[in-house]
Amino acid sequence: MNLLTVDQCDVDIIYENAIRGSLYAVNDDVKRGFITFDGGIRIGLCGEGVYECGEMQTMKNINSLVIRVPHNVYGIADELKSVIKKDGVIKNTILVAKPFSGKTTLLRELARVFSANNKVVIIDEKNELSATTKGVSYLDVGESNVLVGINKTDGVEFAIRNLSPEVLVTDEIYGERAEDGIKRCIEGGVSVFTSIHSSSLSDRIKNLFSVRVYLSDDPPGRILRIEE
Amino acid sequence: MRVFLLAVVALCCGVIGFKVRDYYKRRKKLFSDLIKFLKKVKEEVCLKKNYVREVFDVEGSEDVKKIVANEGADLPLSKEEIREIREILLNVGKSVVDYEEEKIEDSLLKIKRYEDDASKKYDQKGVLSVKMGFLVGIAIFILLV
Repeated sequence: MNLLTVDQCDVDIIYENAIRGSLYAVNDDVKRGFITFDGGIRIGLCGEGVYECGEMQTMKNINSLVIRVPHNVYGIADELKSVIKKDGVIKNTILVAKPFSGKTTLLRELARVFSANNKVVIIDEKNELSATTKGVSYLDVGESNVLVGINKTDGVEFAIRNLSPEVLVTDEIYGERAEDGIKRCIEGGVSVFTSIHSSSLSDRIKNLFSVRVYLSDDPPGRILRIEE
Repeated sequence: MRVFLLAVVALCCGVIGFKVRDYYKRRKKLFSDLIKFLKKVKEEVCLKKNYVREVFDVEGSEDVKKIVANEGADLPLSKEEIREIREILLNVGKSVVDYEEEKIEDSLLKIKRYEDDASKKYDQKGVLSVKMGFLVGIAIFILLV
């Protein structure tokens, strides 16, 4: 069997090419442990953290990488479409699953499908949903408007004030600030589609979303159950 | 025939003068291109806009690109200068913002010194070499005709 063995030299070459010799340009992402490459390819980094005055400055001596290649899977949101939109009302929806369960792929497809008839804004903080490079989305998000590299709290403000969305799509809510942003959005009358890394939901989150979709990681993307 | 050959020799002296001037001119231009490139990178570093490689593709002059590609044999630089500049170019952009700004500032100071020196030599030797070339050529022509 011909197995490709990756050594430290390969890791260094991939890392160097991923940051394009310009750490300053991607260091905000590096500090959070990842780099987003062209086409939305996300590279998770494993190395040593560099701290100064208790604050992480960068990551050095990268020793391993987790490369995730995003892609569109058309048709996977068809089952959900009728559940989410009833009598012209689009319900707030959250996808719940462990990592590598297809949450982002399903979210992207939901954005694409709903953007055909509704004004959809995507807040793509990690550039995974749309894989936008120089204003061009490499993944199919239909007619959605995409805010890239903006955190959820700011993104919600931008979207509500300037883009008058009917549906707001954002990936992986984490932390109280992000939750507050989403809450503000829902209270403002905008429907929200989002996802969360979890196998269960707190009551606080449950109360925000009238449709809760639980996904399986084996195979990824399979809907386990839908709560309404 | 003799007059014609002497005229050719005189002309050659003038051409040599121009070649010497071009050497200093190219050297001066190379340093000012480097400064322009590094200033652009510094701007990108401050605003975190584009990657160094993209800036290099757009802003890097042919001679600067030759240094990075290690094809600088025909450049008007010494081996030591090529080594030093290559090291600067290969390491630019590889640090975090604060450190990178300082590093570029240091590099700019160093290259500015080279540029000042190249500019001075161009003004003195470059311009003079053209005049000298023609004068020597004319002198040879007058003396031997």
